[in-house]
Amino acid sequence: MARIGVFICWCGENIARTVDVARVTAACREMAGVRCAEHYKYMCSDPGQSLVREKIASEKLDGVVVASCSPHMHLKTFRRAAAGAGLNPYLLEMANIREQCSWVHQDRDRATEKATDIVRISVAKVKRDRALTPIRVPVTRRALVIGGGVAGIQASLDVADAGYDVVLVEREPSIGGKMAGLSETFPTLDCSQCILTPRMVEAGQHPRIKLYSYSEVEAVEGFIGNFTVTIRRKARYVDMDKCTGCGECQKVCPLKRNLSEFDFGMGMRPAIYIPFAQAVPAKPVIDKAVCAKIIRNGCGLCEKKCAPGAINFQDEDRLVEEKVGAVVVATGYQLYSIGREQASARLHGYGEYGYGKYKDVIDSLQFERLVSASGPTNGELKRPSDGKTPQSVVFISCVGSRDNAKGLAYCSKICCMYTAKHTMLYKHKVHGGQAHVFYMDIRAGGKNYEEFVRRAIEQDGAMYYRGRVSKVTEENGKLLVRGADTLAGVPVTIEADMVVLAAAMRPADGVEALAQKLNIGYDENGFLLESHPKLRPVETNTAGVLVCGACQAPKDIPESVAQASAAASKVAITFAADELTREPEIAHINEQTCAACFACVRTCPYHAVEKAEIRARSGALIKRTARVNQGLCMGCGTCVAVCPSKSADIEGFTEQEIYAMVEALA
Amino acid sequence: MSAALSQEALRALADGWIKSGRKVIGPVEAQPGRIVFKPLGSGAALYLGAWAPTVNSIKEAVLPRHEKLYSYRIHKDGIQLMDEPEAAGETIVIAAHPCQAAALPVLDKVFNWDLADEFYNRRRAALSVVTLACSSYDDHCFCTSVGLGPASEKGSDAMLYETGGEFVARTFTAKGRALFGDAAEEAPPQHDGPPVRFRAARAREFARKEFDSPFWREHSLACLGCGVCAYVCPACHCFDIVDERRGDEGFRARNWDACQFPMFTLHASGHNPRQRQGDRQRQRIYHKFGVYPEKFGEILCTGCGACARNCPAGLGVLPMVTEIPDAEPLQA
Amino acid sequence: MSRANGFEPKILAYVCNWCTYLGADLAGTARLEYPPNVRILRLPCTGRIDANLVVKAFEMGADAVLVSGCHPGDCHYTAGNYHARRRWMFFRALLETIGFDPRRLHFTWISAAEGKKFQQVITEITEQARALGPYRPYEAKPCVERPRPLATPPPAEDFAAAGQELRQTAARLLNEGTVKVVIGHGERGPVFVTRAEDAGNLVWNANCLSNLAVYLKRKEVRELGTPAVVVKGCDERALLMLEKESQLEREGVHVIGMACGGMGRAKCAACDTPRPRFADETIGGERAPRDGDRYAALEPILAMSAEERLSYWTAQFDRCVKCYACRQACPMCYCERCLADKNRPQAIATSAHRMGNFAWHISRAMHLAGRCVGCDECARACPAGIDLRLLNLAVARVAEREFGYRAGMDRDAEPPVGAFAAADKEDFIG
Repeated sequence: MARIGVFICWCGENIARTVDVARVTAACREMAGVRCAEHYKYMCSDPGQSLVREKIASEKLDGVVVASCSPHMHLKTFRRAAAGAGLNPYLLEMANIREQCSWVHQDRDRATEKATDIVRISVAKVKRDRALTPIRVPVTRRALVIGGGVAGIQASLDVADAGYDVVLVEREPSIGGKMAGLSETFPTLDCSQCILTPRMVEAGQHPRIKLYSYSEVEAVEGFIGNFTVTIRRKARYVDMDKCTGCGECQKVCPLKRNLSEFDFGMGMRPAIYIPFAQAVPAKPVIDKAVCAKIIRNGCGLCEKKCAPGAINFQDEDRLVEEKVGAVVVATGYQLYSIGREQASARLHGYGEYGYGKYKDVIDSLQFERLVSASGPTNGELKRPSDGKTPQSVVFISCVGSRDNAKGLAYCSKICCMYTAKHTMLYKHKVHGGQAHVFYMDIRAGGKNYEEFVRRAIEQDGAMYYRGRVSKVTEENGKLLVRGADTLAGVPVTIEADMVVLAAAMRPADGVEALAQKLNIGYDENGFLLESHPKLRPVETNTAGVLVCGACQAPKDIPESVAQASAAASKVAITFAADELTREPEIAHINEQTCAACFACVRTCPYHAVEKAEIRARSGALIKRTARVNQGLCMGCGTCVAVCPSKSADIEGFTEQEIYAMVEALA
Repeated sequence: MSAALSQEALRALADGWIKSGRKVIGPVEAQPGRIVFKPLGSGAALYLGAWAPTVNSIKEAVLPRHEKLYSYRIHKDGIQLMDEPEAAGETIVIAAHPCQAAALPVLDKVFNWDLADEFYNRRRAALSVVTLACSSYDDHCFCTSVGLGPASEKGSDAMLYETGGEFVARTFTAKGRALFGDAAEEAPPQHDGPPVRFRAARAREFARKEFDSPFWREHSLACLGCGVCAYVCPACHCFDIVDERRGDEGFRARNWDACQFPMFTLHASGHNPRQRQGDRQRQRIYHKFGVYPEKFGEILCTGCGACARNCPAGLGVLPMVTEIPDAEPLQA
Repeated sequence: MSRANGFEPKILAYVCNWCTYLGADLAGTARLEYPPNVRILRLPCTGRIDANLVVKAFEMGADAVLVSGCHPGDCHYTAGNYHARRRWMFFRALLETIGFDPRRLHFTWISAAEGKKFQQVITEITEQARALGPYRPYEAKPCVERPRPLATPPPAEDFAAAGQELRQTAARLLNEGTVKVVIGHGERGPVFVTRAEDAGNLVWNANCLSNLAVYLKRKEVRELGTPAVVVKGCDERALLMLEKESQLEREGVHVIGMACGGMGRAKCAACDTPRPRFADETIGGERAPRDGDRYAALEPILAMSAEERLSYWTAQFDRCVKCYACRQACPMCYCERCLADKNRPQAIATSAHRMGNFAWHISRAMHLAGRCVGCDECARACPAGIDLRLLNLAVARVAEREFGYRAGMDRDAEPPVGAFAAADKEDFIG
């Protein structure tokens, strides 16, 4: 028979006033399997805890019930005490006779009766409790950072500086992301490349950072501390080890008129190219879609010219595997597609703005390149159609964002600021020019942000119209912008030389597929879901996977950087311990009785249940079964409820324990 | 009592028994065409129509599907056992076919072999069985193949014979006489039974000699592994002992069990000596025609055909046994 | 707990650890008084609470049961409460059909901040239960059985030609070596034809009722090699489900479809799959689907009062002998160890007594929620003549009406249980 000890607390008068603790104690002494029952004034006090410890030892107790306050208050306290006396802490239960009994009832008889029942339930449970040990998960102290924009670079450097290795995967030929292409940044108007490129170089050269540029994450398996990541290294046709980055190949390449991705189509690049001068790695890649050698075995000039012999036309995609313990997702954003094809049927473009039809209607990132000192025009503002300097530019904000009819309800957050910046950059380059801005509201919350917008309007003379633009047409070489000034209540038509559309930020292409590989959530717009919007802003629902930057929501550079550092600190916290310990109260599957219907696999909110196979030594399949990944399971028990054969169960709340509790009420 | 009983008189007789506090079990048409044995509220419920097989058997009168053996209470100082109050009052089965009653003497042996089963014996002693000689049979019937017939007296305390819508009673035991007084001595003319469909001796011989034959697995592929055959059988008597517990109280009960369940022979180790359904079908036939006769001298089957009639997959004793190759001719 | 001065109901509350349990703690901290009748059982999440636990509470004599967890969107485990809510839609419909008193079962969301709501809910439930009096569903008086109408006779159909073609097809498949065994109907029941010359054992007539899909899972049958299986349109739905549930690899089975004009079963009256849709080959031409009300059989039951329903099912379940023919004949019951055979703990009493029988049939119907293909093999196999079909219809109707889902109809449709939508109905939640 069990040897259970019951310890009933008076909690001073808190319990004893309403519950007759002596009577409860007497009743407990009559319960089967109860070896001893004691009451004491303050069970959580040192003498109280000592009493528990002494009795565990003297009565050789194999289970303890402390009847006092809520387990949310003192379960850990008493379990520690039990452990101190050599009892497995999971063999101690609490009976909540304070919050859920003495504090809510007046009738002493009935409260005493209820308290006895509550203890009885706990005694029934503790008899079936099993000794548990915390789950220890080894940690691979190495982080994967997906995305090499400013957030990814920041996260990589922070983790690396904390002393842990980092694998940084960037889809494009160079890290730097969108920020590398920006001209100047608000609200300080400091040069974007001047701040970013040193960080890029640092990341590229950091002894603890392994950079995979022009690579993508193919598959992710495992769980916190133990991820295995397969990375696709796309064929670059340039041997990175041999290449010195001299750039001779770019010069000899005859196919020079390809739209530059980095310049958002505002400039041209050859078929073999380094995306921009400060690229990291500063080594070229061959565009296989246009290279004559690759397409029809022609040309081959670069190969002949390359002294170190780094050109390799036989190059193929390669898959490499990396083991990491945590993943930081920093995949950034792209702009809402204004007029062209849309990513989903839900989204609608703005055909009325003539984007794609009129050369001088461009989006904000294209404008960044046109005013950037490193841009295709070397910072001289020339409009795309004829290279003339525009004397009048209209900026339209909220293109795509805050417009349910076009598909995106959210505010893109940074456009007000960069549009103000654009008007200033324009004014600084074209002193006689006039900037016009159509806006819905001006959202300038941030340090020195409102002041910045006021400067654009008051010092640099930008004309702001609160209203929408209905149509942009081209007449006689001018763009006619028809809109409304709702403050004045009049329609406005502006003759412009150029129109710049502040398109909304959307998550980068492919982020949903990546989220599925990582088992993390994303919202209806494709932004990745944080675990808790306030308390766990960089964690996801998959332990060990963190998010930062614009892949989580539209945000500006300082916010992205702050979030990246937050994610890095979470990585460092995970890596600080020798091994991860997790509460053992999680699910397990009886693989012998599992029928492999995989209802649990479909239901688990954490994707913690996996399909597994049991094979004989010969390799022959014996049976298939569900299996719980201990690194992922959080112990909710939803799998148990859907398991028809109850082959799933959760430690700490086993079927046996729960039914014993219910039956104790018979 | 030598005079013939009309249907009304028979029902009135049953009513009298019921009024005297006895439990009377008889065939009832529960749903159209579905005749089942159940306790009668009154003689009016008794099915006395054209010959029809019953779905269930009368064994529940002596071996209930669920029977509490005793209760227990776990105390601080140990476990207290409490006998169940004696449940069995006097019970009369009426108008069962002879194949139902014939199972009782067969069952008596196994329940009084190494141990006299007091629960069984108590109910058995309180039971009187009044059978109704069969006036017809169907394709599933095979009483004549197991040494019985449409008017076998085995196990009956009294028997009714239907002639021209009236019933003549004969009594065989004191229990029977207590119900009908001194009944007619002469047996009324009897009806034909089903033709002999197989040789029981051959079934026994085959099961013993061809224990490892692929025959068993091949012929039981359709078996679904449910317990219908055993549960409708008047002679199957396997049971399971279970404890049902509520908190610190509970009871121990015996419940019907069936050899066709995979769990029936599953060891705690996980090993199962009867791995396949074929092994279980073989067990059923071998037990009925081999093991039981060897031990107790009686075939554990009365040819009622209920197993095959109720099997959702068309199996049963007859379909199985008639597949057994037999060189010798059948004899009546 | 009953007292000399009047009836005191026993209330059992299953609550989640993170919201409602803390809500109850808050009620304590704030000294919000409520009746002491409730016994609180702390579980991790409402997602853990299944129908068996609720049934067990009633078995233990609870006069009312409360299930309470986090508000939608607040679940500590992100979605456990959504799963619970969805399962509840099926469970409530089932309990309603069986005639359990819906006023005895409560479902609420109470957050950690809602001590006040906890106080109110417990007070209301206790007062209601006190007014309703003791709840003893297992002491209902079984109703006198009412005869069920006979199944409709099968329509005149020429089985002969199709039977001939079936036998030829089977012989061909076996001769070609496409399959090693043809699982079909024989004169007496299912047959397993392994040699072309035995193809003559196959029949096609109005007695071909079995859903042969049930055999595809059996070890003995699998050992015979690649099977061909003869299915009607209704049987075929089971194949789709088995495939969906990873029990069957469709490529490993040759499916011979039989167009069927009805077999005279109740289900045939509303059959909209008279011709198998995904078979490898189908014998027989188009048959007109029938547009009867699939759930018509429920109407007479639902027209009864709750008390009458309980009394009806008490009579039905009292006949159950726990032979498990329903389970064994069901193509969707393929667990290696049925919950009914698990004895630690015994969620379902193995004994064929009333409580054990209620628990078994409720549990089975819940396990078939969104899975039952409506082949009615359970009802056909039952030697006690229990109309199990009605229980399955009750849950199937929820799947169709609430989620537009019918098991085994659409290959790509996702089953409603095991999934959830944030916008799921919750008009039953207090």
